[in-house]
Amino acid sequence: MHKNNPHGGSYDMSALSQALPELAPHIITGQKGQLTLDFANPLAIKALNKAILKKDYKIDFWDLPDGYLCPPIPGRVDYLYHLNDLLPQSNDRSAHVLDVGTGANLIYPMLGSRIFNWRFVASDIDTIAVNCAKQLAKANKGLDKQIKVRQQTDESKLFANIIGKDEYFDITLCNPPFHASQEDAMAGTERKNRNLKRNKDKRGSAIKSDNQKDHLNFSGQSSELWCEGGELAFIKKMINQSAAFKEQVGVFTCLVSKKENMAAITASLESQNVASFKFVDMSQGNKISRFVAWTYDNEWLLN
Amino acid sequence: MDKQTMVTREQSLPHRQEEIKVASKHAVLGNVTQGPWPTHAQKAYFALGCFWGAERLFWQQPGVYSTSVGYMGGFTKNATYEDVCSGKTAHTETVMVVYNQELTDFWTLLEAFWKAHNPTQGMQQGNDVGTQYRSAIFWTDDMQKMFAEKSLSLYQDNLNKAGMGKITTEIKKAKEFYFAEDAHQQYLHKNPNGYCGLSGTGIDF
Repeated sequence: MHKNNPHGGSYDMSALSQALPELAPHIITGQKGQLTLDFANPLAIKALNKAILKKDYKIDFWDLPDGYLCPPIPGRVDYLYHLNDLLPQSNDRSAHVLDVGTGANLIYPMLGSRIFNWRFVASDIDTIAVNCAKQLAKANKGLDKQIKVRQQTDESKLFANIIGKDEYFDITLCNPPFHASQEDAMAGTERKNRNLKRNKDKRGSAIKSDNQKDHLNFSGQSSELWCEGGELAFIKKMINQSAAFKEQVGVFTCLVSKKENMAAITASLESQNVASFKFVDMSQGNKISRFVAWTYDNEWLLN
Repeated sequence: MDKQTMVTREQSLPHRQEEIKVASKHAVLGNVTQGPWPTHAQKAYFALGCFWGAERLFWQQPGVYSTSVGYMGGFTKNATYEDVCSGKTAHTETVMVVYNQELTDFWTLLEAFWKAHNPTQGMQQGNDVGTQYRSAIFWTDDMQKMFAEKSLSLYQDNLNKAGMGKITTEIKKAKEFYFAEDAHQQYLHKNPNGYCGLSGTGIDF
């Protein structure tokens, strides 16, 4: 965890359920007598998210239509703290940030505007996700002024159609679809559920299954979970398309879930003639994740 | 009987065989009234008192593609205006709103809904008294349900601060929508000096 991430310890279940009484029925007593949650129950995870957002981030309303990805907050917050480290500390205005593929959950823009007072543009290809995200911003007083949600209409494009002619973004972020196919995504979900059942008390795992019995109906719409060629093809596409926006973006970043993709990403960045790039490791418990950051700006040294 | 008491299914008027036919084109917007709908169209149903003024409120909202008035929430199939006015159908006067999700969103319509009427009046709206004038939101998907419920609690907070009463608006899954007679469709456009009893609480959303 980033040193400033407040979610390092275990969840304070009693304080959280005080903030959100609907969490209380999901709280169970763990093997060591501690208060915990049934992390395999998606309703419990949703209630936990609502409680954290309410208690720690003054986000009174957060919810999702069935079937959309329910993100674990601590890991999302970690990425944002690491992004903040990359921003010039001399900035006297709040950073302008682009979230590529925000999903229905709008989680990064909501957290980023509350923690750092950043201003966001959030995009997505999925119309329902865009619709939900727009309304979540409106339903929380103040957020609609800081977050603009835009529909991507061309699924081959990541920045075009979204970044306006005269717009500048200090940084972009992205949690890419990391599976190569729907079958692959489902197998991953099943694996995760098996591990969860083995290891019920471990925290911080992403719960994606809304319905344990019907894996076809797991949370996460197709565009949130998979794309042709998987994560690597997606990130390469992003690197390629970033060149056209090098004057309009300070630093591009994207999560990389598969370590074995790092070599190919490095090669792609080198052939793209970026000014500098780096991989930033993040760890949450025993889970290691990372993101890649690159810039075309020679003044902006990432190493 | 008392028009402010909901009839039960047993007490309600019998179904009618014949569907009410309405014009295929919206008299104000010029778009179709019964589909086929363009991509990104979504339906929502609102009841906020007499449907003449309620329909105008929604056809005036940016991003709204089509509106129609009709009856929902009760028992009698293909009810007529006369049936509904008898108070024996359990329907409430409802506006079907078809909006383009790329141009507007449900939250914006909810805002218009809450501000335009007094949702604390139970089985009446202003001078219009009876179950057919009760306030309701009939949702068509989970997302609408979730935002409708949130908007109610937000508006209730605002009303509480102003010392106003409890919201009586029903939030239910949409059932069959029965079109009202053509004369009632876009009524205030056809009758510019017609009656409009719609009046808000003055409390901001």
